[in-house]
Formats: sequence, C-alpha cells, structure tokens
Amino acid sequence: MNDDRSAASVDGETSTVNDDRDPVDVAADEFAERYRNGEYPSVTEYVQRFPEQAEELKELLPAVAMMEQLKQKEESRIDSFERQSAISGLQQLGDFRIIREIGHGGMGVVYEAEQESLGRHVALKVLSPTTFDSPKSIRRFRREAETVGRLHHTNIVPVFGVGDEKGLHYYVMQLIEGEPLNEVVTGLRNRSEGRTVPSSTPNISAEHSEAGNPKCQQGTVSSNGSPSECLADASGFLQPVPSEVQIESSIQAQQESEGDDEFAVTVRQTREELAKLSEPDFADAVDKANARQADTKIESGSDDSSSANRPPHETLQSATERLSALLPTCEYWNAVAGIGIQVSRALAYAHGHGVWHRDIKPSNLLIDRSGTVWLVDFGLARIADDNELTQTGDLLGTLRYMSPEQVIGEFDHRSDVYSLGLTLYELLTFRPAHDASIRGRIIEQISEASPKSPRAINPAIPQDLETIILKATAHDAKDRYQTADELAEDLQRFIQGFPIKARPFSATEQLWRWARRNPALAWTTATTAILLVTVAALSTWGLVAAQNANRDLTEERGRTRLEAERAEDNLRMALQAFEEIVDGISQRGLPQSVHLDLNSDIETEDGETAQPVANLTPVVTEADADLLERLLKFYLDFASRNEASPEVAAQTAKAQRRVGDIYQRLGRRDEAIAAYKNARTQYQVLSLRELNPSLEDILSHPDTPATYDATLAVAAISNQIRDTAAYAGDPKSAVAAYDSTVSYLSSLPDEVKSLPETRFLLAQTKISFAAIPSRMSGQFGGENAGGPRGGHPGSRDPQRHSADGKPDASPYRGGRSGYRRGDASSRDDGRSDFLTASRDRGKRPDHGDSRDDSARAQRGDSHGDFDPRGGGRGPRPGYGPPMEMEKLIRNSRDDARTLLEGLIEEDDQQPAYQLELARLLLASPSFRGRGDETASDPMVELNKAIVILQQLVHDHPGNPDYRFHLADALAMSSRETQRYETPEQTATRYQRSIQIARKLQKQFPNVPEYGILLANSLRRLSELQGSPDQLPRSQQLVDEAISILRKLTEVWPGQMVYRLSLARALLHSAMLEWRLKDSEIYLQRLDEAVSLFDHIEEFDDRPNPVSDMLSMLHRRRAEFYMRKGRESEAAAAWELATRLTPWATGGPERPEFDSSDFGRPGGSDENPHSQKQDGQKPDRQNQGGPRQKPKGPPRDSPDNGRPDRNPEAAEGSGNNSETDRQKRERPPAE
Amino acid sequence: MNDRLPSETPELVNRVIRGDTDALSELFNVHRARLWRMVNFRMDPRLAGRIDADDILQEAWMRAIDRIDSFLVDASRSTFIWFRMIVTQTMLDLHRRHVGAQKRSAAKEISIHGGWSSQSTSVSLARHLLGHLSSPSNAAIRMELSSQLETALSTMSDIDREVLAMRHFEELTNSETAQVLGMTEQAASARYVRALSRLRHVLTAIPGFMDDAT
Repeated sequence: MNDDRSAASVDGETSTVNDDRDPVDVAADEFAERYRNGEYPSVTEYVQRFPEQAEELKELLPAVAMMEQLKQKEESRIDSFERQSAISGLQQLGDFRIIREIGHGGMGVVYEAEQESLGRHVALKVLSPTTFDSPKSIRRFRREAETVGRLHHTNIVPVFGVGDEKGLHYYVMQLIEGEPLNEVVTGLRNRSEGRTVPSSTPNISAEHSEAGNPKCQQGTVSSNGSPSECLADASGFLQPVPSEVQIESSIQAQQESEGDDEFAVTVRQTREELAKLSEPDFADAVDKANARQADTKIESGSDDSSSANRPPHETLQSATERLSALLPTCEYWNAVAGIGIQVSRALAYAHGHGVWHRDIKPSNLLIDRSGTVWLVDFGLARIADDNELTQTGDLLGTLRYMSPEQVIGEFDHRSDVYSLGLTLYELLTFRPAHDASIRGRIIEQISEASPKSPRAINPAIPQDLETIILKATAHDAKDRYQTADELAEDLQRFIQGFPIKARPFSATEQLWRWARRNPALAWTTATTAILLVTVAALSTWGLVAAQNANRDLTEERGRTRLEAERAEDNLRMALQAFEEIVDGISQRGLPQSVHLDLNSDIETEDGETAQPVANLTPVVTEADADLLERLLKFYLDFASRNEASPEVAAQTAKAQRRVGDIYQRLGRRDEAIAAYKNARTQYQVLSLRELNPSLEDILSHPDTPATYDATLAVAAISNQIRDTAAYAGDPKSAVAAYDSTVSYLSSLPDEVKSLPETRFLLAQTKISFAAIPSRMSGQFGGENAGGPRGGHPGSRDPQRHSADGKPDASPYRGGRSGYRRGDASSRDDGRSDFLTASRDRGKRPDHGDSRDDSARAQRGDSHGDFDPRGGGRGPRPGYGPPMEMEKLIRNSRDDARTLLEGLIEEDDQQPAYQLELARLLLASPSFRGRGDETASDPMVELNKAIVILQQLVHDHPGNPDYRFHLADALAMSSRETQRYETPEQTATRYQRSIQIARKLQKQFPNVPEYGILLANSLRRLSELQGSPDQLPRSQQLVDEAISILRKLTEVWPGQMVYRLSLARALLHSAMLEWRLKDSEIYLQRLDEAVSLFDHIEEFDDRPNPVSDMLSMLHRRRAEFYMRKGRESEAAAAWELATRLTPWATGGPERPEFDSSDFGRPGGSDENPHSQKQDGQKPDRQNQGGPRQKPKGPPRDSPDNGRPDRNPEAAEGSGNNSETDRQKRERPPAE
Repeated sequence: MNDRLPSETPELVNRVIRGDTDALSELFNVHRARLWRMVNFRMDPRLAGRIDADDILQEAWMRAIDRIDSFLVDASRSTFIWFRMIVTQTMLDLHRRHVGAQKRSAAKEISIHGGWSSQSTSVSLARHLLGHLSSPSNAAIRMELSSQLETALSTMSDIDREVLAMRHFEELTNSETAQVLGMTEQAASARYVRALSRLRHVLTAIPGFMDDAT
C-alpha cells in the first residue's frame, strides 16, 4: 500500500499553489507529502521558506509530523495483516511441518508441528506480525525468548528456540499435554454443583447454577513426556502416571471419543477462552466428547489407589477429573496448595535467573495428567503490544490477574507472586477474585479492593490456606511474600500441617489498609496521622498488657501505668478514626452540603443547636458492615480486657451503635438489634456512673457540668430498637420497648428529666407511640413512611422513611397483650412526672406555669371534646384498637404536644422541635379526629403541619431532610384529604410531593428513602387516576414507580419493605393492565410480584406483611384463573393463598365472579358473595373479632371507608393497596 | 496532489463510462491505496479481528461494478470521491451487521460528514493518535490517556476533526476534502489550518503528549 502511495506521489504538484488555499495549508501539505515519501523535512526549512507564516508553521508542523508518523506506524502494523493471513494457511515453516492449530490468541497462533530434522513434535507459536511495532520489539522478543530458553525447570515449558521465516516470528516449545487451569476451574465449578464440596458449602453450587455437566478436557500426544516430578505428590495428590501408558491411553481415549478436531489441547490463549465464554457450545462440544470418559471417572472417583488396576483409558484422568474426585475431601485443599508450590518454585527459579513471567494467570498454567503444572509464555507478555491486546480482548484475561502496581505500569517479581495468589484464589473459590467484566471495573477492583475473603465464599477453606492466599495477594507488594520461595514454603508447611508463617492481618492493619485505599473519603491529614500513630501504638499496648501479666506490679507500676495511659490515648484515637470511617461509610455518595450532624443528636455537646439530620444514609455495602464488625470486635475485646476509661467505653458504645445503624440500613435487623442492645448495655453502665458520680470524678472535673449523654443514649437506643423491631414486624416487642423507654425516662432523676434533651426525647418517644396505629394500619407511615415515627433529629433510622411494608404488622392482631402491658397508670405517672419536671426545673422555670397552662388550654381547644367512642360515625366495635389503647395513644399525643410546645416556647428557633411538631400533627389523624370530626378537622392539623414544614424548607433550603418531610407530609395528607377534597386537589398534592421527591432523588440517588417516597407517591397518584381516560397516564406513573422500586430492591435486597412496595406497585399495575384488557400482562405482573419473595423459605405463621401480601397475590392469581376457566390452577393458587395466612380463620374467601366484574379485577372484593364451598359469610359479619381476619376488605363507603380505621381488617400489607384500589376502582362520582 | 491520479487517464474514465468493468477495476486500483487507508482509519476496532480491510474493499469494488451505470453522473467531479462514498457505505453496512445498529441514521451522517459520525471520527482519531504510546504493560495508562484524548478531541468541532482525518489519515487533497464536506476549497483550506492549530492546542494540553511525539 505504501508502495502504491509513494509511486503515486510525485513532487510536481506541490509547487502548484492553489490561490484559494491558505498558504499555511500549502506549506503543511507539502510538508506532509514529503513525510509520506519517506523524507523527514525539517520544520526550520519551512519556517525559512515561508517567512510570512513562520510563527504558525513553527507551531503547526510538529503536529503534522506527528500525525503522519503515527499513521505510518499504524499502517505498517495493519499492513502486516496480510502476512498474518498467511499464518492461517500455513503448511510449513522452515524446518517445521504444521500439523494442526491448537490455539490462537492475541499474540499469535499455536500449532502442533513436526520438527522434521529431529522428527519430534513440538508446539510452535507463530507470533502475529502485529505483535511487533518496531524492529526494537522484535529484538526484545528474541532476547527474551533466548533468556527463557535457558530456563530449565520441571514446571516451565521448555523453549527450544526462536526463529523467523517468511517474515513470521515464532518460537518453539515442548508440546505439553495438559489442561489450562482456567478450564480446570470451569470444569470443577460445574462439577461441584450438586456435589458435596468439602464440608458442604451450598453457596458454591448456588453461585453457579449453570448446567453441571461434567466437563473435562482431554489431550494427548507429546512423546517427550515430562520427567514429571510432581510436588503435589507430597500431599498425596495426583499420582504420577508413567508417560508411555499415558500417551497410549490418551490416544486411545481420544480415538474413541472424538475425531481429530479436539485432538490435543496445549497452549490455549485467552482469546479463545474469552470466545468460549460467549460461545458455550464450545464447552458443550467438549462435554459431549468427554462425557463418557468423565462419567466413568466420577464414578471411580476418590479412590486413586485402586485406579492402577483398571484399564488404562479409565485409569487416566484429566486433571479436572482428578481434582474433581478430591473435591469432597480435604485433600482438595492440599492439591491446590500442591499446584501453588509447583508454580511458585518455578517462579522462584525463573526470578533467580532474572526472568519475570509477567502474565501469570490460569490459562497460562497447564496441568498434565500426572499432575505436573507447566508455566507457559514466560516473559512474553512484555512483548505483546498493548494495542493488540486491547483489540483482541486478551487484555481482559490478563488484566484480571494483574497486580495493582502492574496496572500503573510497574512490575517486579512480587507482581508474579500476586498473580499466582489470585490464580490459587480462583482454584479455591472457583471464581475470579476480581470478577468484574468491564475493563474499567476490573482496574477499579484491583486498585481499590482487596479480594473478598475466600472463606466468605466457602467457609470450608482452611484458615491457614486463606491466610496464605491473602498474604500473597496483599495490595501493597511490601506486604506480600517477598519471594516466590517464601510462598512455596508456607504452602508446604500448610500441607504438612505445620504452622504457617503468614499471619492474618490484625484489625488495625485492616483498618489502616482500608483507610489507605479509600482516599476518596477525603480524609484529613490529621486523620491519617492519627491512624498511623494508632496502628503503631496499638501493638505497644498489647505488649504492655502482656507485660502487665508477668511483671511485678508494685515495682513497675508507675512506668506501666504511664504506658497504659498513653496506650489508651492511642486507643481513643483509634476509635475516633473508626468513627471517621463509619462517617465516611455513612456519608458515601452524599455531597458535602448534607453532611449534617451525623453524630447522634442527643449526644452532641449542644443539644439545643443540634441540626436535624437528614435521615440519609447512603449506600453501604455488606463488606463495609463486615469490616466494621471485625474492627469493632477488636475494640470491644480491647476495652473489656483493659478496663478502659469511661471515655473509651463511651466511644466503643457509640461505635457499636453505629454498627447497628449500618446493619439496619442493610436490612439485617437481627444483627442491628443485637448491636443496639450491646451498645445500650454499655451505655447503661456508663449511665450509672453519670447518675452516681464518684467523688473522685467530681473532684477531678469540678468545672465540668454534669452530662447525661450516656443516660439519654440509653433511651435513644431503646427507641431505635423499638423501631427496628416494629419494622421487622414484631409489634409486640416494639410496644414493650416504648413502654420501657417511657418508664426509663420517667425514672431518671429530676435534674436529668428537666433537660430539654430529655424532654425532647420523651416527646419523640410518645409521638412514635401515638403513631403506632397509623403505622400499623399502613394508612400513613405505611406509605412513604414519613409519618409520625417519632424520629428524633439526628436519628438515622433508615427505615423510618421506608416502612411501606411493615405497617400491617398490626399489633392488634399479634401484639395486643403488648398494649395491655403498657398500662395506663405507669404511662400517666411518667407523664405527670415529666410535666412537673419541666415546669419546676425547666431552663426557664419562671415561665413554667403559664406555659403549661397555655399548653393545656390549647390542647383542650383542639382535643377537648375528643371522644374515642363518640358518635354514630365512630368506629364499630372491634374495628379499631381497643379503647384503652386509644386512650393511651391520645394521652401520648397530648403529652408529646405539651412537651414540644414547652420546648418551642423555650427556643422557638430550634428546627428540630418544629419538625417534631409537624410530625406530631401528622400522626394518627384518624385517632385525632375520631370522636367528632367536625370539632377537630384533621385537615386543619395536616395543613398546619405542612405549613410548618414549608417554613422549615424555606428557612433551610439546603437541608434535604425538610424537603423530604414536606414531600412526605404532602403525600400522607393526600390520603387523608381524599375524603374532603376533589380528586384534582388531591392529585395536586401528590404532584407537589412527586416534584420534590423527584428532585431529591435526582440529587441523592443513593438515598433509598427518596426513591421510595417518589415511587409511592407516583403509585398513589396513579391509583388516584382511575377513570378510563386517565388509564394510560396512570399506567405511565406506576411504570415509573415500578422501575424505581426494581432498582431499589436490587440495591437493597435485604430490605423487605422495598420488596413489599414493589409488590404493591406491581399489583396496581396488574390491575391497570387488566382494565386495559391485557390479561396476560396482568398475570405476569402478579408473578413478578410473587417472585420477589421466592427467596423466603419459611413463612411466619403469625400475621406478617409478607405472607399477607403473598396471600393476596395468590388470590388475585386464583381469580384470574377462575375467570379464564382454568379451574385447577385457580385451586392451586387458592390453596397457596390459604396456606400462607393460617391465622385468618376460615381462610380467605373464595372468589366468585360474575361477568360484570371482568375488567375490574378489584370488583370481586367489592361484591363478595357467599362462598358455596366454604360457606363463608360476607366480610361484614366477620369484622367483629379483633383476631379474626376479615374475609375480604371492608366495603368502602364515603363515610366509613377510611382505610385506616380498621387495621384489623387489613389483609396484611395488602390491605393498603386493596383499599386503595377500591377507592380507585370506584369512579370518583360514586 | 493531483499527482496521485496520473493513471486516471481520460481514456480509462471513458471506458468506464462505456460500461467496461475491467476499466472500473483498474480505476479502483488507482485509488485503492487511499481507500484502504480510509478503511484502516475508520474501521471499528471491534471488527479488526473479524474483517480485513481488503474484504471491505473487495465488497466495495463489487458494489461499484453494480453501479457502473451511474458512474457518469455520480462520479463526474471526482472518481475518487465516488469510490470513497461506496466504500463508506460498505463499511457502514458491515459495521451495522457486525457491531450493531448505529446510533444515528446512516443516511443523515453520510450527507453531513461523508459517512461518519463525529463520534466515530473522534474515536478513530484518538486511536490513531495514541499509536505511539504503546509501551508494554501500560495498557491501563494508555486507556486513561485514550479517554483523555477522546475528550480533548471532542472539544474540537466535528468539521475540524473531519478535516484533519481526511487530510492526514485518509490523505485526501484539499479539493477532495472540500468536495466531501460540501464547502469551497478556500473554506476547506482555512478550516484545515484552523483545525491543525486546535489539534495542536488539544495535544499540548495533555501532559507529555507532544513531547512523546517525536
């Protein structure tokens, strides 16, 4: 091509200046032309020739030159494609007669060839001409190949020589019969499925659910059998087989099983490997070809010694088969260690000769039938041009095993150790340590994350082995084995059962490492310094502690004590560092502006000015939680062993609480509660000290006013436990927790009770208690969960906003005794106690009386005639919480209000108080209004709440929390106002809510609460738009909600409430589809909703939202099948539905349809008929018993149709959507 | 630069106009080098392993033969431009077939930039400009640079990039460039100088880039 061009280019034209052209163009053109002709004109020449354009030319010509050079270089590479195509049809290359191709990859093609002069079979790797981009790289290749050629090691594939012929460069290797380890791993992974892996680890098989066909790679040939000295033999693994037998038998096996095509597999390049990933049929072909042999092998399995007596082709097993046979035994670990020893010895040898492999990865390690591992392609990675690698995708295969330093272009022998470590990792876990499939992500994984602990993947992996692997793959080369030999020795020790030299990283080391790898958290230098000091100092502390045990204390006391104090300082610093880490984790993904007070409100030094904190904990991962947990354990041990000071204990308790927060966010409720309880226990201990200060304490800090941080923290944590339990569907313990919090706070000494913090906390607790009905009924909190959750500012209760699913864990079904336990008298005691305290000992006692009076007066205004049993429009008996409950709740509300108003009077600038007041106003509107709705229009209070929140948003525009609450309040109030306003007005509220939520979600995509709020508001609006002409719009809205929720459930798989929300949205969408007559999609939606709970194996036989939801879904499915006349399917669905809710006496009603219902899926519930089969009565008659599940949702009617009014009637969480749906299904005119 | 076409004799062209396919092949071969260059420059790296530049030229040549009847009309100004258009369409078709649908309508693109989306030109430019940074085991750095460069190139205007690509990587003359882009030769020339100057700035902004380019 270049010839063409140069032939075509003649000088004549260059002087012909086209008048139209820019003179610079003319000069540059000529310059370029000369470049193309192989001249290298100087810029100076042109500058002189075109003085008028001198400046421009000086600047521009170098760019021209560069482009021309690059093009030529690029073209010369591509040019050689032609030569490469010659490779594919290659018959003979010099002395070598090509027999067949056995693999190809980025760097070239590997053939099996006969070296005619010597009559031997060899592997010939013909390098793609594109591998080289300059004569220099060719020289380098030859030099490398020669160096490698001088390596003689059992485990290194010998390179016989290099050469070039017809412009093709090649090198000659011994032909090895073996499987690349990557294929072994694939085979083992497939086989491990359904089989017992060591100490049975089901998660492995679960991980890889693809078909578990036994797959093995078979290969043959190689007359130059290896002098196989198999180190793994030491472990009793992989008995060597005489090579003659081996060859013979494998040929035999090959002839029996397949044709020539699969003959002998030797060096495989990653390209093929990658191709295979996308073309499973390759693997299938191999499977097929080998199935027979493989099956036999699996049968003969674990008893190697008996195999000698078998016919040869059965005796000989591929490495995969042999390893697979070991899988169920501990021998497998030894076998892996054996492989590691072989490779590391080979590496050590090569390193000793100054050769680095540079590309250790499973596909570059062949394992033959004797168990010998062979390293291929020594040092060749260096030759391959990156561009070529990139183009062929080979880089990806290589990249996965690159060390962190290699990624940034550095390399030494420890990088080989690292790559080997990752290879062994994969042999242990059957999956790559860096498993991303996108190049950028892999690099990220390598540079930022340590591989996941192998034992986390398979706990059966021996601890020592894991420690060895982790040491080999340490992020920093300094932390690895410093030589490959050290690795080999430790592996040897492991096999022999001796103690290994590597030690697991201590918690401090982990902390340090973690910190170092997360500079993105923008740590201050100070923090880093603290960490450094801490890490260094903690070991001293351990030393001191040990010395203490053995030392004569009297003699050394002074010195030791001094050291101990210093060490404790260090520990304190470590805890601070820990806290920063926690903050870092909890703030992840948030812009600086929302880093409000992430410390718990009550604990801040100045409770008065504590900012309400955005309840926004962004994405944390399981790995974060695990790391923190481990660190925490370390601190706890430490603190308990060493009788740390109260400060340190407080820090530890705080840390523990944080861990609880994180667990809660992850949906690991049991762990969250456990962590909270631990924290609370510690705070309780501290609290004793606060409340009963020793003389010494008082004397040592005479000027410090007494603080009650720990004392209050106990209560705050109790609330967190309560909330967590409530969300977990355990209302009983939630109620008990409210009780105990209130009694606890009431029992505090007066000086503590009078503190504004304490009163505020009590108010919050009471608001939360008052919110129970709405929460539990799902009427309010159930939706966006914004509601009256009694959250205190600064609490980071993640589920507070996401409680969609939990509400129906109705305490009235499961936990009535809980209410009774919290008897009114103790509550009232607590309350009056408090009111007294605040009045008498408040900060401004002189205002006490009037404040209280006015508060009471005000309360009287709004609630004076509140009568829970009032009027004919009041609740039917059994259709709401029991009366004593109602009274308690009302009292709680009133108390909370009194407390809050008192606080606001003391400080009307405190946004936390305002926020809490808004929440109070939003709480339990149904209760508030129940007695006489005309006297206390819930709308007034709701609107007041909204006004407060709007003011807060206005005053603090940067605080997303207020905006969230406003949006939440709008959405919540919409539900209430539906009864009073026109649908258009209600829709407007939802739209405003959606607008705010959408902005929030856009701004903080990682905060799930915003997503949930948005999704639920969208769904609500969709439900509201029920008239036929609005259907498309309605569908659009719910589709958006579904897509948001789908994402959330992916990100937070542990959060059941998100799943329930999604299920509900799907259900609604299904209804819409039905109305649009698309009945198949209806079923699809239901099935998707059902599948959200597939992972739950056992269902609680107590009422719980998940069973309720599922039951309802199945009922809908049953209805669908009924309508379609698919009786048996309907019966099956019905059976499922009934079984899921055993507590619903008599089971749910069996649907009966009339034709008019069609197209109105919800209709059947509105027209329940007596069921012939179970003879059930219509729902109304079943509404009596609180424990009895109604047979269907209540009939809705404008006056009594408030969905909140009957938590008991709820069909679990499903109740919401069902009642919603009913509302929606009913034309607004009705 | 018309020196490129010494063998494009009027006689040859006349034979093509009369429908002589052999003559068309000859004519195609006259331009083959530059057409190959264009294919090489524009080829999606994802296709590199699967399709050879020569395959594309082969197919384009066959398409040209199919359209020999329209040669007189379509190739009246420049046979090279005609061939180039056919090759471009062939390539786009192949890309579509192998890599997937183009983001934008191919027809639209052809009318604007002679067949190539600005994005693909940008990527191709970056890829070729990076050619010299192929030190081994620096793949990661290279990728980083590559994206830096693409970003930098994307700050140039589409036309600027096209002009550079055509003038240097496809070795089109100024007059041909002007034809493809549908502008006057004067404008094309001014554009070229301006684009050079921008490129120069873009490259100097990337640390160490111009230093390496020796």
